[in-house]
Amino acid sequence: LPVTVGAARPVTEGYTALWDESLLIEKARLGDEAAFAAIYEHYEKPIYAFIYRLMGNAEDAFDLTQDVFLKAFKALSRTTPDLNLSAWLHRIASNACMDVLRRRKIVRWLPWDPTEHANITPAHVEDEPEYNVEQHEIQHQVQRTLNRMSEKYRLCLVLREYQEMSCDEIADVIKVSRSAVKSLLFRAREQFREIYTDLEERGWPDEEDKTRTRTRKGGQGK
Amino acid sequence: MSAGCERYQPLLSAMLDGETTEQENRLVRQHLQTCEDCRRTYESYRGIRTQLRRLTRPNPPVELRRSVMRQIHGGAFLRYRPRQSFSFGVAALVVITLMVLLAGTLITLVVFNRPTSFDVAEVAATSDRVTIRFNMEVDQKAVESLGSSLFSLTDAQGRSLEYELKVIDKQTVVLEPKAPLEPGQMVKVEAAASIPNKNGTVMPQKHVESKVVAPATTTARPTATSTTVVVAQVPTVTPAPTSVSVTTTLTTVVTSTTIAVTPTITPTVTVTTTVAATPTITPDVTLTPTPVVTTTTTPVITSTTAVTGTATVTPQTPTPGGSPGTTPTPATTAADCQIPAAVSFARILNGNQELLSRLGCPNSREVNISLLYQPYEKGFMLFYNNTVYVLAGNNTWRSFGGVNTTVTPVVSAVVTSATPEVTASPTVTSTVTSPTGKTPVLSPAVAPAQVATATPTPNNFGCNVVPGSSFIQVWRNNAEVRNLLGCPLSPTVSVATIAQTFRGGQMISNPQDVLGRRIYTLFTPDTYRVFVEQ
Repeated sequence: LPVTVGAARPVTEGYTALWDESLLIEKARLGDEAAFAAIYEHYEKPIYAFIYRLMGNAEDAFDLTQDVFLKAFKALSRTTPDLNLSAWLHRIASNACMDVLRRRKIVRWLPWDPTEHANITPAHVEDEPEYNVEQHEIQHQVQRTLNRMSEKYRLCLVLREYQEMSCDEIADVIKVSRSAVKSLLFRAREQFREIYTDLEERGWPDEEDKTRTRTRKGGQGK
Repeated sequence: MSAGCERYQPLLSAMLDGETTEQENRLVRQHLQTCEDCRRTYESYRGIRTQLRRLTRPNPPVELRRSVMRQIHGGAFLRYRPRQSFSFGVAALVVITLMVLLAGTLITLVVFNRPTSFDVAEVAATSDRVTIRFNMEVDQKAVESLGSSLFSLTDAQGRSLEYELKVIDKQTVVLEPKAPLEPGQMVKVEAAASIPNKNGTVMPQKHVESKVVAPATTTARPTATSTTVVVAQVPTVTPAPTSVSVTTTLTTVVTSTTIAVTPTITPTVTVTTTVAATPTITPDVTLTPTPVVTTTTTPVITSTTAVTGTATVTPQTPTPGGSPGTTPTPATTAADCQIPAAVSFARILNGNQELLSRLGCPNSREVNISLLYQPYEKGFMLFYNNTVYVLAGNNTWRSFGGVNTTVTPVVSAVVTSATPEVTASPTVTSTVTSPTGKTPVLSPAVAPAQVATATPTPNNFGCNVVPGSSFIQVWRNNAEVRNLLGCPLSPTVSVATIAQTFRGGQMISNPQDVLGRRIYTLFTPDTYRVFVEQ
């Protein structure tokens, strides 16, 4: 059996070329907008993609990525010089996503409204000619599996397998010990497998996941 | 599965992460040689890795960058939080129905804040020019003669970019790159320390600034007849430490023209609000060296639906049921409904009584949809819920339901292996095969026309861009639709987004529209409005 050990390697896809991060942080900390723009440039795509995969849609990815960078710009002056920028930005993003996901979870317990899905079913995106049907279908299934995972496991798995962070880096992002990360990853993989197999057996539902239900301020609907 | 497997499974996971010791690795390998179940588990963990790493990395919409940069610029972010304050009802947002008669009408509000030392005040980069503005008058002749030795323009990789230098006025220099810059690209602009000014002194230190290149001009779709309601947020301006306060007058627009409004606030130097009546926006900022100039336009109110207010405001919670003095419309703020409107829809609904009364409350919560979108010369087409929506330039929409998409046979051929996901190994390039062993028919080489219809010779009616395959049938078979829409302007875009049905219509968000995030509001039976987030 070819057993390969997954070595921790930094993710590079989506990042801009090498740059002088510490200098830019220092300038941005003093309020230099251009330096912050360079930081934004470097991290925009990875953070956007990360949030997109956690939340499962472009709408949330837009809103939350925007929030993350504005929070970061505001908070940068209060950071220490030894700041690990990548971990810090991922932490802000993780917290923002977890907040929203947890808030939404509350309303999932509301009574099922049969009219809710009656009118709207997803379009067949696959019918676009320029589009790779196979890979899209699998991506869609992977994303739907992620959407059904518990937030914490989803977060760990996405950081490890999509953002390609090491256990050490994940520990730094979510502020738990390295051994806790190992344990979380094991449970996350098991949960992914379980949900995926279950959906596979029952047949993939036709409808999109309803992951965007939001509570309105001060109420939970009916 | 043997009893010992449970002990091994966490180790299998840890091994994949390189988190096991040599001794553990040996133990695991020995166990794997004899245990089929654990081998499968390990392979499935690897399959998860493979598939997650194969997930595409979606490109952020250009509007995201613009939005973030706009908000951090000049510290405006401290006061402008769109998620909290982007409420159309609060007095912070003033909406005026304004008939803009003159093309390119420019409203410039200038706050002048006299600087203390000679320096670059502002750098702006668009694809065709980099504009450098100084806070004092420069020695024009000297700058012209010293030419490009005073400035440098480099790309993100540090490569020098050729440009032509032009002194525009006493305080403004423009570098026109020989090759146009890419919007979204990062450029570094340097102004040398020795630049002489009018007072005979020189700039004490060099100025270096990196800029993200903006598009040269924002050109609206040529749907001159579509009623695009642009509701621009008027930023709340509070005094920054270095600036005086600004009274901003409202913006905005309902006309029979597509209008985009870009309020730019630069508290340290200038504040410019540009309202252009034509589809072209001139983003130039005029710097007027007078202490404080406030230009106020008197809005022409042409509709009773207009909501007015002032720009100096504190957010105000909508009062349920309305308060005395406000519109006597019964009940409706979005918050009165039992089922809440999606946050981005509520931003538009709150305070917009006309919209609220036409749409009513949501029938159900918003749902995730995959939206296909294609812009046309005179309108656009949307596809979701198996329905094609034609949004025509005459402000009406119609739908064509039950569109028989051509994918069906292909889709049914997609997932056939029992567990393609968990059995995948990193060396397998495709985990799915069709039952017939054929490659799926849809490939970029196949013309959409051939895919969509049985017509042997596709008729594109002289259009260069072909309608997307979801749209082509409707477009081809209905001369009226073709007349209403014209030719497609660009290929179909697919986006994961949200939609919500209301008693009197539906709202659909499109975060990746060419001009930024748009919200389509389709009223029953056949009219629509579009809101653009600014």
